[in-house]
Amino acid sequence: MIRNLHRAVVRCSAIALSVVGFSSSAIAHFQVLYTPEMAPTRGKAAQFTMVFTHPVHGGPHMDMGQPEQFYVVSQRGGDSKPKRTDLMKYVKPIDWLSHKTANAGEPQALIKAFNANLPRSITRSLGDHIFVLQPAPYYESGEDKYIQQFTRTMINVGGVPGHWAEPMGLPAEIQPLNKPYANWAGGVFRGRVLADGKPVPHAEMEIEFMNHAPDQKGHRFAKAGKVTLPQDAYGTQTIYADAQGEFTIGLPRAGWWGICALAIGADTEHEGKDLSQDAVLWVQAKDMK
Amino acid sequence: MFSSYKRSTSTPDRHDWECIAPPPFWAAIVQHHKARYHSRLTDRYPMKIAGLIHNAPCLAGKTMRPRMPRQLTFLITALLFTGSLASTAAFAHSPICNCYNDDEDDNKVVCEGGFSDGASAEGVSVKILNDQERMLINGVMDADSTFTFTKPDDDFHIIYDAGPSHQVIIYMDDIE
Repeated sequence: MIRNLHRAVVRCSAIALSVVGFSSSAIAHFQVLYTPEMAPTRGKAAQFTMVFTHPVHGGPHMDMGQPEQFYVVSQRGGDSKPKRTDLMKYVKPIDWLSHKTANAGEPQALIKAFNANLPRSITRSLGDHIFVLQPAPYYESGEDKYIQQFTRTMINVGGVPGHWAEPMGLPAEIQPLNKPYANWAGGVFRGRVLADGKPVPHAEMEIEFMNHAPDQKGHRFAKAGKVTLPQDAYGTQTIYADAQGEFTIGLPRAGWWGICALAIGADTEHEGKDLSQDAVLWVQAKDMK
Repeated sequence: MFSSYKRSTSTPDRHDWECIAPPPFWAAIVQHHKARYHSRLTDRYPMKIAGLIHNAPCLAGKTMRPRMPRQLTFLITALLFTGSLASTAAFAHSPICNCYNDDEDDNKVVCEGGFSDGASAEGVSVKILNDQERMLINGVMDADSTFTFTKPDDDFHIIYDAGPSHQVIIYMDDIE
């Protein structure tokens, strides 16, 4: 009887481990480019945090290499000329903590992330400020390939719009068809997947809610998630763009939502391995109070 | 003879004529009455008295004119409504202005203007007034939708004046 019990425990453990393994492979990587407020009423100094993680699960996180580019393109009103400002001088490495465990249940080591403390002058003007992060390709050993996510977070100061809907011609890009910084919870968000400015038909996409609030001072995400996932498929919502590369998603809850289009860039190889050039756009939704 | 809220088949002339432009205050009185009692005048009073109330300005010597056929009234109302929608769309922007201390010169204030639809603010009037509403500086937004001025010695506030109901007031204490 003891032998049977032992077999049952071993079998259950094996099943549990395989489920964990399967779940881990199902969760999506997201390049976070976070600042608390996408729609401030007036320009002020802003802290941007860059972490490569799984936002709906609050980890585990991945080490980032030195970003290749970080810049902002600002425009006030539809008639003015967009102005590009390089921000690499503000990018500083930080250690990001994790509540998650890595292999064999060991606590995950500190991972490398980045911060950029931007002075008020960067977002002082009214209008749109589109922040673009081009991270270094990340080697994902589990898939034996590199991932590079061109990430955009848009800030609007004061309500004067700018060029939020204009394509920037990035290798991988999500063109918003709604303002990413002005969304009500319960509404929908529309966009178009672009590679080098051209629509990508039927692009595979992943959507994740930033379920664990970022703690920019403590260099960690909140331990407790805002929502409990009924099943792993709810964590990463997988959708496909239509024949024109367009998509529509719901925003059922206030907070940050990450939208990622997978492997749409023209470059498919890096250092002899496969390369997935993805596009990430962050969207903020707020409750109607 | 009197126009009425309720058509009467027995007295066709009652709805064939109407009073030309009763004074606004009288229309307001009638509206107030309707709102308060949730009924038409004729529901509360006999037809004749209702007509007297509604048309009192006409009884006082105002001109009467033939009532416009209903179909024509409907058509004109529809056209006016459509026109008002178009106007609303044209003016569906709200003025936005933000002023801050110039980082390069502490004595100066920079004001940026704009509209919620992204329209340029070039040429929009900017007035700097003191507490007694005396004009200290009078200018306009430049091609970059910006207006920079030297801080007056007096306490002041700024009016970004994009026309009637399109004004933004910024007080000096709110300038950072």
